[in-house]
Amino acid sequence: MIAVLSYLGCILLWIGSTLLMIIKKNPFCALFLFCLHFCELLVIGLKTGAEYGKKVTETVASCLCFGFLWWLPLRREMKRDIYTDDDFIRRPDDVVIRHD
Amino acid sequence: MGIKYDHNAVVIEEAPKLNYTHNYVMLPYNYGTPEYEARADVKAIKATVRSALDKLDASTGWKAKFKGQKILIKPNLVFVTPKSSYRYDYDIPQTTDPRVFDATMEVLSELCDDIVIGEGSGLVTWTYAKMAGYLKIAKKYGARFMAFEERPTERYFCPKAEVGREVYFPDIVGEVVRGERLYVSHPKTKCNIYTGVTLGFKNSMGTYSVNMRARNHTYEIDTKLTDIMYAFKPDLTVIDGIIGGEGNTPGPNDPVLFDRIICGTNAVEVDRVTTELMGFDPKESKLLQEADKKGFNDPNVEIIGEKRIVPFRQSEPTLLSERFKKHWPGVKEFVGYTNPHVPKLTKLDGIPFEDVYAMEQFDRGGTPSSLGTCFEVFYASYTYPLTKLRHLNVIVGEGAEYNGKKYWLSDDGHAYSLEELKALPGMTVVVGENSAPAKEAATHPFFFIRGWGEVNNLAVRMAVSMMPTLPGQADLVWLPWIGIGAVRKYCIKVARAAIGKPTDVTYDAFRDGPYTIPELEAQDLDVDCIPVPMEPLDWKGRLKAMGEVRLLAQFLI
Repeated sequence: MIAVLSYLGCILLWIGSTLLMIIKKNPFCALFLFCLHFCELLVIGLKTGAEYGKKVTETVASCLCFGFLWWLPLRREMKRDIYTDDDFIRRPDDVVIRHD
Repeated sequence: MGIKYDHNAVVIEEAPKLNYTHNYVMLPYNYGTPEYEARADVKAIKATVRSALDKLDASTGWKAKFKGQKILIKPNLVFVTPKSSYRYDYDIPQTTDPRVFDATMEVLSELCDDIVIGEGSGLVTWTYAKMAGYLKIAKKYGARFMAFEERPTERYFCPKAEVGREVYFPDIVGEVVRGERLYVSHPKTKCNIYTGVTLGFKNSMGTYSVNMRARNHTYEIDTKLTDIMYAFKPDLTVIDGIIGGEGNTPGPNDPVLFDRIICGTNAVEVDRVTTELMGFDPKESKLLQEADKKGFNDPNVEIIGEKRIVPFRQSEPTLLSERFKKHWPGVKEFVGYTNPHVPKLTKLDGIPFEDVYAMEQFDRGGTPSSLGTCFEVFYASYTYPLTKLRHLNVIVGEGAEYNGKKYWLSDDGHAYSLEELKALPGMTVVVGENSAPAKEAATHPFFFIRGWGEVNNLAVRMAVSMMPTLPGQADLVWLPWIGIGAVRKYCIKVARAAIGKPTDVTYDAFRDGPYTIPELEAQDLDVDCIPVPMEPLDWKGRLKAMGEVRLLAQFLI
C-alpha cells in the first residue's frame, strides 16, 4: 500500500509542478524533479534496468517519472532473488505451516 | 478429436530432495539468464520433468503423436499471491509453478512450433500471467499467451452430457474441440473446496467462458466438470507436484512439500493416482466416480513409479466445522433446503448435528464452498484480528419445510423460523438465489446476495458485512497492474462485442438442471460434441453485449 501511495504522491507532485509552471510561470519545481530523476537515471537507473532485464525505453520513462520509487524496489527484489547453492538444501524447518 | 492412445500410462517421478520454496509463485527477475539456469532447483525440476515425460513416451509414444502438431497448454493460473499478499510468511501455492511450467515448455517446444499458452483464471488473467512470469515463458519459447476471457466465444452442443449440454468455449479452445489443436493440461497438486481436489481434468473448468462457469456450479458441479470431456479431453496431463497446496483453495492455501511430477495420457487416471498420493481415497471422489460412470477412465492404465503418500489437509466447504468455529467464533450459519436430496425435517429442536451438516453439504459445489472461500480470504487478511469476533449470521437456502412452514437449521440443534431469524442479534446476510424466502431477515437489502455464482458479488458484499476486512489477493506492489489488466480486459471485451464477436454469454445461471438444447437428428445424438454457429448480432444485440461488460466485474471475473 505504501508503494501505491508513493506512486500516487509522485504523480501528484508532477501534476503540481506542471501546474506551477503553467499558471505561476515557475519552472523550478518541475526542473528540480526532472534533474533529480535524470541524475538517478544516469547513476543507477540505467544500470538497474539493464541488470533486471527491462527495455531501455521503459527504464528511461519509468526512472524519469518515478525516480527511486521505481529503481529501489527493483534493487531490493534483485537482492532478495540472489541465491547460492546453500539456499536450495532441504532442511527440516522448511515449510510446512498448517492453519488447522 | 484428440489423440487416441493404444496404451495409457501414468508416470510418478520423484524430484531430488531440495528446497524448492524460492520462486514457486513468481519467476525471479533473472529468469532465462545463465544464473537462473544454473540454480540447483531449476536444474532439478527440469531434469525431473524431462525424465517423467521421457518415461511416459517410452510407454505410450506420446512424443511421436505430438510432433509438428499445434498445442494449447493450460496451466492452472488462479491468484498469484506472494507472501506479502496475506499475513502469512510464505507464498500461496495456487498457481502452477512457473519453473515447472518452463520445464514442460522446454520439452514441448522441441516437438512443436505453434504453442499457445491459454488460461481463463476468472480473474485478471493477463496481469496474473505477467506477475507469475508466464508472459516471459511464452516469449522465451516463441509461444503466444491468450487470456480465454478476452477471446470470442463459440457455441457447442454435447448431446450425451447430463447438465452441460449447451456450452460456450473461447475460439482457441474451439480449435481443440474440433481436433485442430492438441490440449495439454498442466495443473498444480491442490485441494479444492468445491470438488475435493483440482487436478488434470478439473483444470478444464477454466476453458469455459466466464458466465458459463456459473451454470450448474451447485451440487451438480462434479457432473458438469466431467461433462466437459464430451467436448475435449487432455491429450497430455502434467501435474506440478513440486509444492502442493492444501486447504481451502481457491482461498489462500498452505504449501506442502510433495516433491514430484505426475504425468500421463489419460487425465482421469492421472487424477486418480494423484488423489491417492495426496492421501485421499479416489473411490470417494465424486468427480472420479462421475468420470468412471461416463467411461472416461482406463482400467488398464500402466502406473510407472512409486506411490509415496503425503497426506494433504482436506478442504472444508462448510461453516460448521471445528476449524471454522475456532477461527470465526462470532459467525453462525442457518441452513435449510426442501428437496429429495436432503434430510426431511421431523422436529424443531434436538436436531442431530449430522442432519444439519447433511443439509448444508447438499450444495457442496455451491454456496457453502463459496462462503468457505470468502472466509478463508478474510482469515488470511491482515485485518483478521479486527474481524475475528465479529457477530454475523449467515442464512443459506430456501428453508426446510415442516408443517407447511419454512425453517433454517443451526448447529445448536434448533430450527429457526423466519420471525426468529429476523430477531437475531448482530448482522445478518442471506446468500444465494434460492434463499429469497429468507431475504427479509437480511439486515439490509444489500445483504441479500442473490447469485452466489457471481463470486465477485458475494465476495464484495461479504467483505462489506465483515468490515473492516481488507481482503488481500495480490502483492500491493502489483496493484496498479491489476487495475491496468482489468481496464485492458474491459476494453477488449467491449471492442469484441462492438464488432459482433462477444467474449461471453448473458449471465443466466439462476437455476439447476440441464440447459436444454433443440431436438437433434438421430445421427447428431450419437456424437459427443457438435459445433453450433452463433447467431450474428445486429446492432441492438451488439449494444446489449457491450452493456453486459461491466468494468468493476473485470477485477474479479
